Amino acid sequence: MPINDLLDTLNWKSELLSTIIWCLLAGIGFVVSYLLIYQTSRKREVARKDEINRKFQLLVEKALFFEPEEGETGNEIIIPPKFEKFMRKEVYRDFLLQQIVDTRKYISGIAADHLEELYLQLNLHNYSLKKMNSRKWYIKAQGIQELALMNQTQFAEAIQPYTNHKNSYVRLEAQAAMVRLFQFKGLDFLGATSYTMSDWEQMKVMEQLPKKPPQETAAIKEWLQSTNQSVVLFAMRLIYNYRLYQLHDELAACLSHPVQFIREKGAKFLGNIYNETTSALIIRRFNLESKRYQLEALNTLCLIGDEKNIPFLYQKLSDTDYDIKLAAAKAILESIEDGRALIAQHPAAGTYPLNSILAEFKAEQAA
Amino acid sequence: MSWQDILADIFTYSVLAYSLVLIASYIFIGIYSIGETKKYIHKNSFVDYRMLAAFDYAPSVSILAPAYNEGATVAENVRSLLSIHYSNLELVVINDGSKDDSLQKLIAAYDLERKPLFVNPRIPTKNIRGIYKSRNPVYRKLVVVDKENGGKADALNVGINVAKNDYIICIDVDCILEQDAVLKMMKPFMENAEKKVIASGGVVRIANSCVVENGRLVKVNLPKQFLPRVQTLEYIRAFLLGRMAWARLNGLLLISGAFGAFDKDVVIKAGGYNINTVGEDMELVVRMRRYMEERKIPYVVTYIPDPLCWTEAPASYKILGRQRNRWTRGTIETLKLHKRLFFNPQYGLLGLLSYPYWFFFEFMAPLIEFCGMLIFLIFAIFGLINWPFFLLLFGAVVLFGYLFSTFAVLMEVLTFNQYKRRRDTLRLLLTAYMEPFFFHPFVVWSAIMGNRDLILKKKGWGEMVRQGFAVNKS
Repeated sequence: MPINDLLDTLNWKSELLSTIIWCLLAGIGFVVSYLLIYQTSRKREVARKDEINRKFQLLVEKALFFEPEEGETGNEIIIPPKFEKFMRKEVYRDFLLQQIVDTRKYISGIAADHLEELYLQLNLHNYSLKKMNSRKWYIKAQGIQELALMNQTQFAEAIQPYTNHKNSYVRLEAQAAMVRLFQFKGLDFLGATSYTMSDWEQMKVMEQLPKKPPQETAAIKEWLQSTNQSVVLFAMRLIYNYRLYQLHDELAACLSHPVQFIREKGAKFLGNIYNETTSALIIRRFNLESKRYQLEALNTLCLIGDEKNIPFLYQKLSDTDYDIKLAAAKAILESIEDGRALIAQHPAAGTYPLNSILAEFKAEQAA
Repeated sequence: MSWQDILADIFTYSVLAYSLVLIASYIFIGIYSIGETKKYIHKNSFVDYRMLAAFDYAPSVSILAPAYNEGATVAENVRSLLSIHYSNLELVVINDGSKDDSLQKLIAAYDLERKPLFVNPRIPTKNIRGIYKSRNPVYRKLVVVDKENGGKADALNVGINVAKNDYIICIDVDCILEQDAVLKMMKPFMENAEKKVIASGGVVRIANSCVVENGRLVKVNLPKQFLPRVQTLEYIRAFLLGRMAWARLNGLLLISGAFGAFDKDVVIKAGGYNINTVGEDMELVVRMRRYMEERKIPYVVTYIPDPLCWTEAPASYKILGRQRNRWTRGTIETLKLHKRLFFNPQYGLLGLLSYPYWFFFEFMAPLIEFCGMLIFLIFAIFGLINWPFFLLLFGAVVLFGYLFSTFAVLMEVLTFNQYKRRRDTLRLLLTAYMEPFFFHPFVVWSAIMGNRDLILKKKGWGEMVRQGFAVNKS
């Protein structure tokens, strides 16, 4: 259809455009109004929360430093009636709960016990439990986190099923909660989890564990045999972090694991619990493995610093890969007193990259 | 019907179809980004980043900061980067053959001495003249590399060769990073158990008129000048809406060169930065994605919507024009280099959606718009315009743009709310309503110039003059 004829018959299209324009104007008006109303109400809410928080801080301080009067046996902290009023409104209840939980993260000992008492007195444990039973994943995970942080071991049975939840955040909070509440015993979920634990999840769970090593290691041996590779990796990390020398052979067995990254981590983690057999075990697989394995192995040999490894390391100075050469040279330096002199004897010592590597070592030693 | 009529119809309906698809894509982006932003904010409410900061086994990171003629501010900028919270961190500053005293300033400020460090030349680069480390153990994380001038891409490749850690964060040295920026950028690399995270993009925000003290941003202000302010709005639209939506689809093609994190191993295997394009940031991401697609390795490119990086935006049309000209050339060069992806099902979403979108709606859009303006002028001169209809159509298009920008401002207020004052919100909205008349035509013109310069084989970045932040030294 010619353009002019098209334009001449555009009446209905002009009406359509007019309608669209009115809709767009209404949309803009709606969004702008919502925006301005939201800002106003948020400002008011922030001011209100500040006011509540000021009063609440006094209550928290009272709880933290609470001591029953002489002759009294009860542990009840006296809560002003106005707080009961605040607690009825969800937004303020959430806010106060968050203040308690945030404070709890930074304290321990008797003060923490008192804060937990306040949490119970304000009936917030039931609120956290209700959150845990919410259908929304982020509310559920928040509830679990609160219960764990406030040391509510009585709800452990309710939390436990969530350690294998399909949502990774819910799962993580539940796993971290069990470990926080029961330390190494809380790791029992590892035997049943059907999901892969990401590095982040492993790190968060690890962070909840105590500094002292576990007494029992039978469970760790089981986890090393898991079909879930992330569970195997976590078990290896436990051995590495806690220097469980008694599990050296079990960790060394991971060097033959069918999965490549497990073997690579095995080569790395053995560096923390090595014995007289470690070097030979690592070297045995060296030429069959990936570059990452080889670099981890060389770093481990550097840590071990055994003179017996020198022939192997010296041979690696001839490797075509510069990273391997450098790692081997560093290991030689750590294995014998005058490692630099030995490297300098290499036929390729006068050429790049060995000459550059030697210059770096010389400068380091001079410094 | 004559052939002229047929041609005219084809042209008209093609432009109409193009416009409708473009509008539909904006609507889709706006709605689709909401879910991803909500999910991110909910996830963030659980995360204790301090844990990652102190954890010995957190991923090791090297920040790469190329510097060229930054003598006025480089020492302060480096100080700011050294104060970032993260345990396993190294900072590699690459002096790309500066003609000023950038290197001397760094040597003096950080008590640097030259060290004969071995560097594995995994990626070919221009010569390194020297590597410097500090005598002071307080600055043990700092490595300064002096090299022959070779451009930003070459400088970054040198940084990759020098970096000893597993992950790299590439930034502009004059960007200000939030203290927890590295923590937030590294989390995605750790939390995806099913797919390999190869890169993570961060939000770049406009720091004009913000208050900076000792290299740290202490007060966020909306830019006073119109140009930086309209770019603030543009960045909010692009980062908060556009990139969130693309990240949710796992179709993100671009990570800002001012702030992005990468798996170093994949970067090296993909060949490092391409020194023959001015769009090296986009080109690297496309190449890394291609590398993973061709090997059928499950992967993801993620994106963090938190405001973590602040930079100075051009405040004059001249500098802005150079920037947009370069962005256009970079986009076209990248699209040309990877034309194999175009509607190629072998590359999945990358070939079937991401690349075609960039081709049609990022590359072609300014050209179509410019042609449309020219045709409009010709029709107007010959009295061929149905003015009432034109005004209606024009009004609808402009109002749609207003709605999209207003929605972007709403998203900003609902999420990160950097500009808290009511006055700032209203100023942003007013800026949005002025944008189609005082900013957008200039951007289109700059893109046309970019196309022209590419055809004329003009290379280079052009001089990007910066004014510096509003500094308040305590």
